Amino acid sequence: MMMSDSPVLSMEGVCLSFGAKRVLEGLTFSVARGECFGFLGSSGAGKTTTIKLLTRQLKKDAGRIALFGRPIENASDADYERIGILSDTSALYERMSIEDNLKLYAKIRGRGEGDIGRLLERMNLSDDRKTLVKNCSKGMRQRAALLAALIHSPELLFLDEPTSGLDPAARAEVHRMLAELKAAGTTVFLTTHDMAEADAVCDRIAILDEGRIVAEGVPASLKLRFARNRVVMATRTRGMVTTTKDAAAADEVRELFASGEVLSIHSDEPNLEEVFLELTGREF
Amino acid sequence: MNAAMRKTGALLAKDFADLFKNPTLLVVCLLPIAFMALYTFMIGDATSDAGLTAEQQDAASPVIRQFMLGSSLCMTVGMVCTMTALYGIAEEKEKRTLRTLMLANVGASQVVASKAIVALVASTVVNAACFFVADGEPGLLGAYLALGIVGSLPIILFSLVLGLACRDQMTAGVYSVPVLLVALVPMFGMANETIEKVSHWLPTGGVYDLIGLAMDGRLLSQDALAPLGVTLAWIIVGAVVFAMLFKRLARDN
Repeated sequence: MMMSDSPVLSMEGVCLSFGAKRVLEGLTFSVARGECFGFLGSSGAGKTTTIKLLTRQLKKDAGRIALFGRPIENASDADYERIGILSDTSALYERMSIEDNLKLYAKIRGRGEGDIGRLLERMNLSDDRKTLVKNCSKGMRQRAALLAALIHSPELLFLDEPTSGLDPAARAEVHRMLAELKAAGTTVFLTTHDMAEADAVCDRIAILDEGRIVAEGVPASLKLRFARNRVVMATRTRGMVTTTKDAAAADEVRELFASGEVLSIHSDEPNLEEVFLELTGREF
Repeated sequence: MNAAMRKTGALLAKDFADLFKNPTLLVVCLLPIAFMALYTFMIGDATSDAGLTAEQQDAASPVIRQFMLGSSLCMTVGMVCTMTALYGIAEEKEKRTLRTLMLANVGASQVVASKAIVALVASTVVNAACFFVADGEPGLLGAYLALGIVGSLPIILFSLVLGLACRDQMTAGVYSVPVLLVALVPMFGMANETIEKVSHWLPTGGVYDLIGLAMDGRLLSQDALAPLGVTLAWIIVGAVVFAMLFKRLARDN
């Protein structure tokens, strides 16, 4: 992963209201070049709204947004040509085949059609290239829409719930493609409410709750931050033994090891879902 | 070729291809031709059944021809332009392809330009087909097609504005009715004096009258000034309305 110091995009104190309802409150974060940044939250937390602000679909009430180092108000069409967007409502033309849709977007983006075959191969859609979109499954449509967003090899990719509604196999293909994009240096801004997905593919995450960022950092660090003060051991004769991590428990742990009782030992770290629940006190 | 031209070109190719893939648009394009075939058959039968003399038939012929050609133009402009432009944009909104295009940095002006060009070309082709079905004099074809293009402009402009105002195809169905009715009114001028008087001032009324003048060889006479003025006035009104509302409406749902 290549990262440089200047952020590809950043938000500082961004607020937005719909009427009397404040939907985003003082959002501040930045995304470095080549980073996969996950924006996590439950439905209605403000994830899609944030993407809409970053992609000119909405205007902020207050704060600063910078894209490729420039205030978003000064971002040119050329800047937006460097961006790919897969929204939760992205749709392709139903009376056209997957391949024809990709050819259309290649023309729109001023790219040749040479990469289409390779892209279809990467998403396992080669055999369905001539299938009309209206005859495609949701998973095929979603993967095809992702390819349309990637057709011009964007430097920055916005993905809004890219695996929502996909089966595990299709989800794995999307994750594999994200890994390839990261390896190629593409910056990815990913919104999801799937914590396992965020844990698997994101370098850094921010957790959004009711329009506010309540935690931000590397997934592993966040999990450690909320780690519980306990260790779980599987033993030969005493079953699962749970003890604390402090000095008071050291003798007990030492004794179990000395007697050869311990089969395995684990620190009891929470997963991201548990971190989210801890932070927000809500279910997804 | 700059980016805007390239994008408009890509959308044009897509929209033209869709004319043949979209059964609704295909039927709408064939409908005026089918109506003209039906009218030709019915009117031919009616004149022979009425027992008109050859002289009477000759006297009625220009009136019938004007009705036929004028009606085909009104139907084509009303149906093809409205459906292609208004429904075309509404479908893009409903199926969220417009949003996907806009997220791919395609401007609303490029989408609208493509729909307008396709509507204009489709109506011209259908007009040409109707002309031959209605047994128009070949020497009049150029004038007829030119009048068809001029007459299409206000209807296309209003259809684009209404298309941008639509949320979905259901709304488009409601919005298209008044446009279609207004476009068709000159066809019924022969049936009622009041309608005939009003129709001169409607968007397609001017070109309907100009077709009659073209058939009389008076298209370049002073008599053409009034209908030409009416048509130009509607084009200007359409352009002003479009310019005023485009920025406000040129966004997705």
